[in-house]
Amino acid sequence: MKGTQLGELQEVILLSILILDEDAYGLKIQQDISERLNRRLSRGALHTALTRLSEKGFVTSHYGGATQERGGRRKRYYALTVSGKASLREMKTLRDEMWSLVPSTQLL
Amino acid sequence: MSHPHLPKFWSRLLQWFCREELFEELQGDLEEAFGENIESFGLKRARRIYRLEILKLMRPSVIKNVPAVRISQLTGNYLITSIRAFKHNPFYIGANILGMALALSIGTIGYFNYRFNDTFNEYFPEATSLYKVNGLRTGESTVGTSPAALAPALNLAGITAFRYHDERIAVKLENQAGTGSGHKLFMEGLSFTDPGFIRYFDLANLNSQPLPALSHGEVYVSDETAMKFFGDPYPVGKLLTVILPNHQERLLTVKDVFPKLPNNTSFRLSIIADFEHLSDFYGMDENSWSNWVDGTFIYAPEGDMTRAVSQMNTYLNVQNQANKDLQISSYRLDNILEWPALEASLHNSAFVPQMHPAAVAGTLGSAIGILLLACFNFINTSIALSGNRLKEIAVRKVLGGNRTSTIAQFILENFLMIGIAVVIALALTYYMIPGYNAMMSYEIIQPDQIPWTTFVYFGLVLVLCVGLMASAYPAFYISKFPSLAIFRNKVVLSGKNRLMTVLLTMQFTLCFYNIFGLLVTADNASYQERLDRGYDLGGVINIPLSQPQQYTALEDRLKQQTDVRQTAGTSSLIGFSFNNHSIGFNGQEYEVAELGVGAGYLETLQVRLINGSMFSQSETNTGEARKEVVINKMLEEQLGGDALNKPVTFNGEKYTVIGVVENFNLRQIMFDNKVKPCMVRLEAPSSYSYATLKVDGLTTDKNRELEALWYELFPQELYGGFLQEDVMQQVRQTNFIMINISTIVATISILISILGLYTLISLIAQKRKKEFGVRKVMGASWQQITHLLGRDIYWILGIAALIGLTGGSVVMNAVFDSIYAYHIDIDLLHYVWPTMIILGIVVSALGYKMMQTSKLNPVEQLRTE
Repeated sequence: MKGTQLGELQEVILLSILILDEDAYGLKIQQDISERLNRRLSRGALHTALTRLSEKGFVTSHYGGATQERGGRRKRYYALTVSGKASLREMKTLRDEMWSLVPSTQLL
Repeated sequence: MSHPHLPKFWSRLLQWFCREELFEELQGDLEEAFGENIESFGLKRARRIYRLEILKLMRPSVIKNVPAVRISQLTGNYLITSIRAFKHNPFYIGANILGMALALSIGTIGYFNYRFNDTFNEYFPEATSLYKVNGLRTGESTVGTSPAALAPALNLAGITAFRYHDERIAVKLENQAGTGSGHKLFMEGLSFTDPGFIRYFDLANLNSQPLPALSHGEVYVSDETAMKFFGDPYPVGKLLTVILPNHQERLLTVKDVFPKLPNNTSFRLSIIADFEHLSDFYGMDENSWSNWVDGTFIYAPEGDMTRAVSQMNTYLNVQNQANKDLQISSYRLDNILEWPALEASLHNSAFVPQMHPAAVAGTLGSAIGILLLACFNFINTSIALSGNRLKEIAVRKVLGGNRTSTIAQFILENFLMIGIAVVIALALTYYMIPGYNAMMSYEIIQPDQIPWTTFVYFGLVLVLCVGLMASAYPAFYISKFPSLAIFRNKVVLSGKNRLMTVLLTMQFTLCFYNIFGLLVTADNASYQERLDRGYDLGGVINIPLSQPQQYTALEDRLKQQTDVRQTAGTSSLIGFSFNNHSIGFNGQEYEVAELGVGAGYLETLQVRLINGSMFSQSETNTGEARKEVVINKMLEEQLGGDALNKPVTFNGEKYTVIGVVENFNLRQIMFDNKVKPCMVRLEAPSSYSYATLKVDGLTTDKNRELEALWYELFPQELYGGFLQEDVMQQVRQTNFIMINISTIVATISILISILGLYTLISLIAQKRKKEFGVRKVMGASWQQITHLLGRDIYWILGIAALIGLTGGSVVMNAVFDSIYAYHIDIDLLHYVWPTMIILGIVVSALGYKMMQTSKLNPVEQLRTE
């Protein structure tokens, strides 16, 4: 298992899961991120990132309802674990701290 | 229930490589995305995204159970070993790859040739719902044309009927942009269509948008025609003039441009106008039952055709009343995917037919034959070469390599070779396609019409099939020997190997078969050139007339030319046109082929008179048309052998038989066009539609001279003179194609087989090195050694000759029977020649190697270890 650091994509995925809340399954996450980052994220890349995240213990998942459009296959919903949320918060604190240290003249 | 448009192959691929516990989630997501993508981007793009997604899912965390790390490490080592093995035997391996590449490119061409026929008319998206109306005639034949009034008469819910009619027409274009005065004339096909044709055949403009509706005086042109006429790919709004048969002119405006249809469709659309123009241009009543159009089509998405057919059949009475000479017993509907196969057998039909099945099967058969041969050779060479690597295998095993890794090594090596061969083959094919198209005289293979996915699938399937076939056996065979036996020199991998011998025999069987095919085809072509057709083709030229009076004007001028030996007017042409008719003789009805010709026509073509006389002049002294006929020998025999000077009834009138002539061919000698009972009727000059002349030493210059004369006399008319020899065109073309294909196939198969034999001989020589050394020391001559070396080969060649030649004669006879009405009989000489040729090639290619081996110094041979 690689350390508990969050990659940029992983961070975005965690945030996206939080935003989507009850509706956070593969396709929705993929579409949400593609839309927000304005770049196509392949299902394969998303899968790799999600696998890493669950290996690190940041996300859990459970199977949900099957629909006709999915050829009767179930969705796998993702949710953040406590340590996932903690890691996100840690990341945010770190960034906020760094942002606050940037002299305002540098931002022009 | 999966989405119906989901690419099945790809979802199966995903299921195959994806871990089971992930499949449900991933496939579900992809399928849901697929459904949404269809909504937003359309089916095509949705499929592309789907395929890409699956390709991108091929990553270690998704792929099933494969020890991913081990593979990548090992492959590297396998590759190094492979390259080392290639370096050791560059000649054999190079030859092997080249042979395989040649075979693969022939295979590719064979496949695309097959595909051309197989996807005929599939270009039209609604093809499964489109039908063509054909009429069953009383008798057995089927007519492709239908009455103009049929389509408008049909009114059933869920069914739309529309008409299509094609005419060659002269198109005049004023010279553009001040490039001198005058105009350009073209003969071009003009298609008259009901709006339904455009709509249901989904014709679109260059931007894939539906074509705007046509009003009177407007036409669509194809992009190809646009370039030809205007030198402009988008000449919307430009004008063109058509010259009607009555010499009137009509100005037409280009409304829009459509992309040229692929060649494997039934239509050659160049200019399209609305159907109503037919009545204006040709005075044809478009709602009449006695006017015929090329095709009536029906669009019926429901697929229930019985209602349509039964409604059409209610009009049979009206139609048969209106057309006494063309009685139809019932209508039938043929789906446009099936119709092209029937097209060639339909009467009065002028659409593009599918290729003759023999042409497709011939090419595909040769291609598969060559591919098999290359595979056999590949297997042989692989086995022979790996004989030198037994020790390597043994060492690997002793050092802990297992059998699987040895097999993997060999399979990888072979796949690598085949991979290289496929790349070379693609390049070769690229260069061969124009040649192939030129040979077939129109573009059979249009690379831009073949979707890239087809190329990818085809390439993958080819690599997999050929790779497995060629590599599996050697890999399993060689890896099985125990190391101990190898080290003790107990493994005998000699030329006696049963499989190698069998494969070589099969290779040479194909060689004999191919060379036999080539020789017989070439011989048949020269036979058909010499064949007596009952008339003389040489030096005869036919010039179509638009009005009978033109003949007199032309004849007056031609009389002054000394090299024009004879001229005659006629309305039918031997070799090109005749009618089937019934005549009455002695109260009985006979079916005959009927020709109408002017006086002197038969003499111009040198038809040979047996009895009686030819036509002397067309009118009696009182100015009436003479009612005279000449019949051929076959008809005379049918009429009882004594018909001269007796009357026959034709169209209710009495004619007198004034002469009997030798049988002559009424058409080209393709298919079942054998000599038929035939009656030639004297035609008055008022119905001439051709001038036929016999010229001494006819050349293209002479034809140009005649063309100049024509334009001097009739400047507004297009000259259409053609040679009587054109009747040979299809036969020559077919023979030309068959000879070309056979030559390529025979050459490649001989090359590959010789390579295989060379490898085998080298192997035997090497394995029996010591034996030969001892024999020589004991006094054997080099001739005896050569004999020992060649003994197996005699058997191989003997058996191959027997099977190859027998098979060849059965197949070639069947092929000739299906293509030609007259062809050679295969005789003994046809068997002798291929045998001599192959023996000659084998001896000259291998003799030196065999002698060299036999003459080696025995000391060198014995001293090796």
